[in-house]
Amino acid sequence: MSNTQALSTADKWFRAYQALDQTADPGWMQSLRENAAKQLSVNGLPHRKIEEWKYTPLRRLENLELQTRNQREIPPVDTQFPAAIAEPSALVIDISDGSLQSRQETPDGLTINSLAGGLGKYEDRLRSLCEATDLSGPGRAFAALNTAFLDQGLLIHAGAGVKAGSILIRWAFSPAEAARLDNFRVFVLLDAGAELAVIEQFESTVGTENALNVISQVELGKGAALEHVRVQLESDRCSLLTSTSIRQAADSRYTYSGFDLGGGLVRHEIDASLTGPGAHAEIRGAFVLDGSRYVDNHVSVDHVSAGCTSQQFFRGVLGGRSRGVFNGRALIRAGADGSVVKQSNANLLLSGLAEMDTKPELEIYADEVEASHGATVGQLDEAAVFYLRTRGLSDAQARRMLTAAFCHAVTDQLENRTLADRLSVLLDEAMPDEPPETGRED
Amino acid sequence: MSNEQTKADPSSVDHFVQQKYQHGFVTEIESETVPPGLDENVIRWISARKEEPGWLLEWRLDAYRQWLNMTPPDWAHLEIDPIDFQAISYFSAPKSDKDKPQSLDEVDPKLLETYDKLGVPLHERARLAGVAVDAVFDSISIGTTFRDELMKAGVIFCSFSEAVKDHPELVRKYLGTVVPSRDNFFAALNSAVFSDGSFVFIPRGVRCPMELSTYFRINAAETGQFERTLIIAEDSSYVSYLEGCTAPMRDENQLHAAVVELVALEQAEIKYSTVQNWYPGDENGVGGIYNFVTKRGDCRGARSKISWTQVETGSAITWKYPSCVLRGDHSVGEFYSVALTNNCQQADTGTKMIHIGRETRSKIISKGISAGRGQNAYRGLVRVAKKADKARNFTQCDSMLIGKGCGAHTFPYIEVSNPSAKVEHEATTSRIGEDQMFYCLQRGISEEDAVSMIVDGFCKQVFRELPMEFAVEAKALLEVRLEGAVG
Repeated sequence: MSNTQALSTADKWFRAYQALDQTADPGWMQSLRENAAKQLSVNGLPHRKIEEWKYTPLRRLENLELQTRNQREIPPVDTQFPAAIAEPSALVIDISDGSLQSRQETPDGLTINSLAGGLGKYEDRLRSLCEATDLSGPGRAFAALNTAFLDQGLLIHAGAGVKAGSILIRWAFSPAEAARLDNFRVFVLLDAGAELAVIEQFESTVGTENALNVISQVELGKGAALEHVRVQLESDRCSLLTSTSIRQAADSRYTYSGFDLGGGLVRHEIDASLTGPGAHAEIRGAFVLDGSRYVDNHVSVDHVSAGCTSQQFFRGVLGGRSRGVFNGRALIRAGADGSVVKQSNANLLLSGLAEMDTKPELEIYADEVEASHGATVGQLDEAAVFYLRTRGLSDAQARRMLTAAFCHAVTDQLENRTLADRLSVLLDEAMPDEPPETGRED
Repeated sequence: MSNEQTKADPSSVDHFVQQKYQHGFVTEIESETVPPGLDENVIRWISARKEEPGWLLEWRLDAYRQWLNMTPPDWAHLEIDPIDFQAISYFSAPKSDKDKPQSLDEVDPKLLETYDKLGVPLHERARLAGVAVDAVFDSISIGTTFRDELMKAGVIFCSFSEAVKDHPELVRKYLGTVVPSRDNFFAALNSAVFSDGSFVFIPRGVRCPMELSTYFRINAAETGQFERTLIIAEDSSYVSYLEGCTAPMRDENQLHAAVVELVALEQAEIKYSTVQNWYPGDENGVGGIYNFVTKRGDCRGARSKISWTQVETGSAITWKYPSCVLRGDHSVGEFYSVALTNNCQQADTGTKMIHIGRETRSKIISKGISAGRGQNAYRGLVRVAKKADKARNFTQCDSMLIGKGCGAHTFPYIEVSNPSAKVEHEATTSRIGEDQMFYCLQRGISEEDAVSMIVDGFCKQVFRELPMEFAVEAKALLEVRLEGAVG
């Protein structure tokens, strides 16, 4: 997307903002939106010259229409939600076209509400979270867009010490004629010692060319633990721009496992800030790409306090004309002594037309740290393929098995074994069929 | 041994880290310098004074016009005050230049004295060390040794200005083919105003009989130095080139924007080694050289090899990415680097390995050492193009932190679009451990020796690649800059 095109798309969206009816909303929200819309209008959309977006092809977003409030008043109909991937005991929340569809009764200590519903009791917390979102510069254009259209959202809150079980969030699009871009916001607040698992399932049954721009903000109190799993099986005409920012107090624990097995243009930003001593963030993911899919994982972990640990672990398999991007960053601030950082990204390129771009960054301002990173792009070990062939497997079977095993390194780390087994099956099914074009013995 | 000695005393750290720059002195020689500022007239003046042909003037002017539309790069992990390019003088030459000395005896004794202070092996020492030296003082060459011996082998080793006069066809054929004048802001600036530099041509099948060496030195105050080096190795030839530099102490920031172009044809090998020890500024970050360098090697021929080895210990700002374009099939690129930042020094350095040909290989070994408030960043790119079948890269970049106020950063870019490529990157960050120090101290090794030993071990992989004299100098340099700096 060239610079001028980026501006014109942003302009179009700015005009949509101006048509928004805001009279019923609190003043702070109106001024927040106004500021965000101004940022969007001034900076435009990111383009190739913006370092953080240099690989992301945004062209397919140009013609999308924004859904504004008037259109939202008609609830989406006919949305087909996929079968739930999580265990039956999980609470299910359905979100269609960026609006909350259903929610179930919640146990004591757990609150699930829409953004509008949460404004009474949680207004101050939500406001400070919204206002803390960085909107400056073209690199933050989608955060600005999301804030300018701040309207639909989901609030999940677990009180101190509550073991809240698991929640499944299913995202889907309804069949619609025009291609749309929806904005949505998720707030997850876990008070001290609370524990929760959130499983997100992105899977539409329709193949419409839609886009979803979601910002999730997570606040973990002292000793709180959130297990976050994302399973993404969208159609290849779908665009997903999602960002999750996590603020972690002392001894809290955030675990993320992302599985990108679909989607046309997918970009997920994860931004964890370890503000309390002893906090731990574990961020891992697997992506299996074919066709002309684009999947970008942008991970950043900020070690603010001493004694925090973090791990980034991503595995990618790329076939067809797909393109994968991994950008992992770990920042260790002065004073964050005793930090331990591990980054690892390994990728298998299966096709001559696929491309993988990886950039594991370390930025370190403290000296008592242990930091290491590794990144590889390569092929399967031919000796391992040979071994399997001596056991009677065909070349294709051997390669499929090894490629799948390569990705199982991520599912193996999941604590929820039932879910891990299901994900392993999904991973196996997603393996591209094409064998590598070179390096074959037969 | 007393208890005090066995502990890493922070005050001794300060003492050692604050070692003064040994080569800080200014030789008072009258210089012919153009007034500060840059416009087309300055470029015409430089070109006329150097009696350059018309095509070169046009090339300079073209670069200047492109430069006017460019902005200084801001992506590096560096904090730089804006540079006023109109406050810099773009040419400075020792006054006795018109009547160039024919032998070293005729050289201004004050100049020779400067080289003596720096330990430049220009005459006897040069002969003993078997080194031919093309010494650049400020912006113009003043003496070249071993020219005859090299001539016998067919090797051309001269200043860039001489090459323009004596071998214009070679210069015209290769100049700007590796680093085009529009490549980046500083390369464009260099192309417009480059003063002098070295030119090396190794003909087909010749193994250069000695290591070639150039000592750079910045002298006149507020004078930017814009070196241009061009090395061409024809088919099946070999050359090892050494570049080293020191600079006098002063308070004004000095800009240095060099361009180095290497061309390796079929089966040729070029080994380029640098020890960079320019004035880094004082402990408060006042003064010091701004070093913006574009170095790139083009492995044009099949089975060619280019190897960069650098030891970067000086300069207030280092912005430098010696790169290899691996165009020829089976060509090899290597990059070995030790970068040290102390006090307020900042370095953003690394390499680019662009794999284009089949079965090309590259290796990157980078060692960054940060002390004081130094900021040291490795920035590297490994790109495997679609057609670079079976390309292979291995990258290792390690950082060592000495002290609480410094930073070590790694920004490796890996872009692979060939499924048969193998690219590996690994990096670690560590510090000199208290246990390591304790072990050395209780064996009776002094604190300075222990640090020196640990750092030396950390850098060994790179030092091994340096020619012997350079390895000794590099090791000594690190010792001086880091003795006792235990965090």
